Amino acid sequence: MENCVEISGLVKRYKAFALGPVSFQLPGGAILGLIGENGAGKTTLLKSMLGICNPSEGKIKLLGTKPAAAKQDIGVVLDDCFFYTDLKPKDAGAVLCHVYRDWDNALYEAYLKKFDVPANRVIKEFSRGMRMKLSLACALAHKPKLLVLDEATAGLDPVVRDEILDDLLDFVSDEDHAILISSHITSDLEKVADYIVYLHRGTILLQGEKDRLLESYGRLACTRDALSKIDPSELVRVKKSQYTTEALVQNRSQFTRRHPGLVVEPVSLDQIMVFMERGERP
Amino acid sequence: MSGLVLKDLFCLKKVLRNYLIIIAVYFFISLAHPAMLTGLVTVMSVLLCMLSLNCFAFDQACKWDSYGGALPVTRNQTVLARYCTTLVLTAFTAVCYCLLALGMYLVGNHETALGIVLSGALCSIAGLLINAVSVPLVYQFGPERGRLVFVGLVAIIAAATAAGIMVITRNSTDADVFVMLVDALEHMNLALAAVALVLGCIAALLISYGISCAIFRKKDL
Repeated sequence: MENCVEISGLVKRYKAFALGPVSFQLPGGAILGLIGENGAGKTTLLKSMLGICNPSEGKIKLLGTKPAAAKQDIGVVLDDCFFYTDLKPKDAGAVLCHVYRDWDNALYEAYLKKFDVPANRVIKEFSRGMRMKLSLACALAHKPKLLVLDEATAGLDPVVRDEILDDLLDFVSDEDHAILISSHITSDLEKVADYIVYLHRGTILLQGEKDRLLESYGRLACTRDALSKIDPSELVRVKKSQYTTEALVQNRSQFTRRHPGLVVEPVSLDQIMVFMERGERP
Repeated sequence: MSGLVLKDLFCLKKVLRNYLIIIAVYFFISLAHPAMLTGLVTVMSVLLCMLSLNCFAFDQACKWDSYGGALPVTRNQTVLARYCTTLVLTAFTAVCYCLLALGMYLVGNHETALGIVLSGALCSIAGLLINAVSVPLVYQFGPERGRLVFVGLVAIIAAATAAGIMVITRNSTDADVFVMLVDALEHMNLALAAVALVLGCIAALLISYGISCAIFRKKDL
């Protein structure tokens, strides 16, 4: 299986913020979920990858080639719809059919119909959800091999989100296709992502296969007394409040074997993020 | 790249329609006084030629540049598309005033027809030169600050020109200056001047395009 995305040592420096060095790969037929707090650098990473920003350092290979050469085969949905709001979806189609070599107008119309986006209404009358659906239709209508989605499911109701996630799963059923998706809705990523990259303040805090991450990490809830008896090296983060003490542990099964009296529950990506952001190092 | 020109034209559709309505009204008023048509052509040529500058504001309003940066077009092509939009609008204006001139010629008003073509051509060139200066400024400073910098630049150039003329003609009366100007115009080879003006305009646009590309290539969108 070939890698659709290969990023190595990517750095982007701004005056007040620096991303990286970031390195990861995304094989074909897979979905990589990019998570992190606001301002963690997710959008900067995607923009640097796509050449919207000029990276300061690093190597980027998309679909086995340089980003500029791969753009015909990349579908992009950024965090909003970027067409002038007096335009109509059919105008957007007329523009993009001159931009993408493989633009399929019938497919575009089919997506608009599927997503319930009227082709002849001006975009300014659309809700955020409709705009995102229009962006998705634009991203899919030229039959891309790589989809890059930045908060694409934000603002959509759960039913539409579910439909779109199913479409994304269909999309990666082809081994040549891959999706890189950044989202705050980690439950969506838990449903579809194969890999997770967790960015925190511009650097990668965690990365790996999603299932392994979720299997490996666990949430320990216990008394302060019980916590004080655990070797700190076994804990990743600790959260203490007036009434509860909880900790994030790695190697859940090993930990449970070592401490049979303690209960370690499975964690969600959301919980891992909250521990990482708000918890203290033991 | 043609997609980007089309996008600009779609964005300008509404403004263009309003301009054309104003021009149509002005045209019907001018029919009673054909001499006014020259003024109409002057306004139309400059306005339509500068309309493409509005596209920067439209792009900024909908944050198009970020999305545009992800499309399979190079940055140079993106810049070229903006210049092409200007040229398309200039060509459209030229067709409009040539048709108007033809109408005047056919009804026997040859003088007005010539006036329309001459003022249209001169104003189109002026409009293109304004674009040549202002487009790199807008790429560098953004649509709002770019226009302000352009106005400031024009004010400085105008003041410097006026000062220069005052220095050159400080020992002459107004009548002397007038005679000097008429004399210069009479001895000017008009055909050569027209060719020089067109070549100068093309050169200015090419230089402007080069500068805009250099600015836009370095930008984080």
